[in-house]
Amino acid sequence: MFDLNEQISNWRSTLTQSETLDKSDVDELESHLREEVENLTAQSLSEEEAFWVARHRLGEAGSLAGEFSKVNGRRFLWKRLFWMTAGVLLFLVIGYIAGVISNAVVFAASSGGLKGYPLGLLGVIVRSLILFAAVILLYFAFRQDKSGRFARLAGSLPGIILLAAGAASAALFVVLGRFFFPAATARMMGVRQYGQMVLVQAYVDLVWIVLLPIALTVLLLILWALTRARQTT
Amino acid sequence: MTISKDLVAASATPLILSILAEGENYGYAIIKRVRELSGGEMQWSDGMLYPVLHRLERQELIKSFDRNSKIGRRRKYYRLRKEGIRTLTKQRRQWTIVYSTLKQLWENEPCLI
Repeated sequence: MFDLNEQISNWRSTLTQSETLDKSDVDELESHLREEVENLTAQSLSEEEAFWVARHRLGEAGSLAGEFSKVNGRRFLWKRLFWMTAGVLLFLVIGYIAGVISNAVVFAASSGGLKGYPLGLLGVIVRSLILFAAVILLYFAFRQDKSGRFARLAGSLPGIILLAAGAASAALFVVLGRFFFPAATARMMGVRQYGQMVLVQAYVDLVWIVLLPIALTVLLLILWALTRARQTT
Repeated sequence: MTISKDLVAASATPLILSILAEGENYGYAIIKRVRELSGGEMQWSDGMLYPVLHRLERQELIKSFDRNSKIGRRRKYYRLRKEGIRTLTKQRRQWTIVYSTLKQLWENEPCLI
């Protein structure tokens, strides 16, 4: 049995997958399609025939997306920039949260009597566990995303390899940056001088930790406002 | 006879502006009007019209607004703006020149076809 509404919602979802069409574009096209179907059924075509003819006349999803990209092109550049910035900010936030929790655990353990290498190891383990948990959490969060784009990426073998490579390089970056390099440096320059260096860095880091997220948040808000402005005009 | 792609693209703007000069209208009806006027000779791929409408709106030649039809369907209507009227006048002059030039040539020359 042919269900017009079901067919139209399928057709809508293929159009929505294209980045260059937004909701109001698809609404307008749907209104056109429905009117054409009504017109054709009045000329004694069946609903199913009318749907396929109307759909064909409107043009294939790919060529429609191409036509729309000529007008909508720049708006989607902003959108993409928005998500990139959001990704960087998210990564920083997760990194900070992991750092703070691991510092807290290290502090608690050191007041409990733990010292030296085991203490450092504990910090790294806590940090890695939090990052790992964040990756898993994000994976499940994106699996439920509405457009299904992320789900498609995570569902294919190259997509899984890409995601795994991304997660592994992030973990490697953290382990190298936060454990291996400081450890090597401390051995080289002596623990006392290294401690002084860490103290200086801690103050400089404080400025960065505060300023960078603020700058990125402001950028995010500007980009958000730009995509909004372009959608309403 | 089908009109070539280039000619369709070039004539889309004056056609849309002229139809909107008759009064505000929406996408489906604009396409229907073109089809009727050309006796079915000008076949647009229907989806092509909307990006053109949106471009004209961005150029501030036309303005869109939502309105419910009698049967309760929400439609996006378009109407001409002042700048659109100005552009239409210019385009009309240009197309008239092209048309009259070709016409003179085809009338005065012995027909070779």
